[in-house]
Amino acid sequence: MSVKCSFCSNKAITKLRYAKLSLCSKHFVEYVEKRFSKIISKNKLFKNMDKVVVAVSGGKDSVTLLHLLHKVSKEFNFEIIGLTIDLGIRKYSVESVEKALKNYEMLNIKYKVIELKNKYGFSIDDIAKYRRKAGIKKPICSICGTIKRYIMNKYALEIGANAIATGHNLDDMVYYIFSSLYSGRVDNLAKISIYSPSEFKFVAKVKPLAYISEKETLLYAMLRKLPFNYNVCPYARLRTFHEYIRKTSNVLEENVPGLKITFARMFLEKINPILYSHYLSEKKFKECKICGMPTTGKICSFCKIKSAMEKVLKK
Amino acid sequence: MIKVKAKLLRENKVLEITLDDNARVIDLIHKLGHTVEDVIVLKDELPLVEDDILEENGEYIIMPVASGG
Repeated sequence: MSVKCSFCSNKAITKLRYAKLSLCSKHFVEYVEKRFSKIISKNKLFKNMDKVVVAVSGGKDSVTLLHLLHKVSKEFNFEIIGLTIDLGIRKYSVESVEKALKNYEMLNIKYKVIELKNKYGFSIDDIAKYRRKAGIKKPICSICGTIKRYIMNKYALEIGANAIATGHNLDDMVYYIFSSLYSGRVDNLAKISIYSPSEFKFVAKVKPLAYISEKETLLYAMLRKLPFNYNVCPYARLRTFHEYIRKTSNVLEENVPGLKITFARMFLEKINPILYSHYLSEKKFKECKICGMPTTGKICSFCKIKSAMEKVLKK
Repeated sequence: MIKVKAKLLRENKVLEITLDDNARVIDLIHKLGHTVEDVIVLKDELPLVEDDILEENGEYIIMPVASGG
């Protein structure tokens, strides 16, 4: 016996327990698109913006984001510029970049590919191999995050974009909130937001998928037959804490449907604005002495990584 | 009791699983140690709802959701 769609007589392909709906392919795609548009309107994510950089890794989340944003870009009146960073992670990066390009071409979107190794002299594989020798103590995923944020911001500044949109989904938000609470990083908690305004030399950041779960983005990409890289980053297996949090939040969600959305929404709408006004609004940024990009110290984190890697790779 | 085949997509492994009569997709998901949010279960290339009843000797693909990218 199979479950029917809540809106028609077709067979359901998913059950959204938080919304008490079972949906067929057609109605699920429509539901995600409507919700996405509603999230943008409610949070005024693209108000007064005419150029938005969309960070597309080639994975399911960023590919889904690109297609959803392309659908609403006319309604909200902004141009999309795709940005893909070739991180140099063996075959994984080759396939990811290839998938990202296929999507740009499908939608006829302008894009830029930045190759980390060509532009800055080192790849993520180099960092994985030499980071201890280079004296870099942070975990590989954290370094990769710093590098991606730096390149995205620099590129968006260079082309005069109003915002950078990233494919962070509901599960990412739940993880960031939980891990920042767990480690007492109040500064980080204050930064977790669906919309971070531009300040100093930081371009605004937008996370339009913040209330859409990882399972929903995967289903959307699959049902619309979008090309995406389903493989897992070879360095992601090192993130055991992340995996525990993801598993635990999914157990909670199964027992209390809607828990993840409520948790994220309560934090983003009620707690974050208070933290933001106390911990971030007075933060003073200055220009990095090497590259001129924003930092709170003398040298930005990216330049510290780059110079440490240069020393090791020259030997 | 019924027997079904579960193809684990990431591990590229096929398991034969025995479940109670009238077992549902959610029972298979739990038997494999997952929750409904962790995986998508496919049959004949179509995603299934956790309440769908499993078929005797049916072949099901288990697709993990997390990408870790």
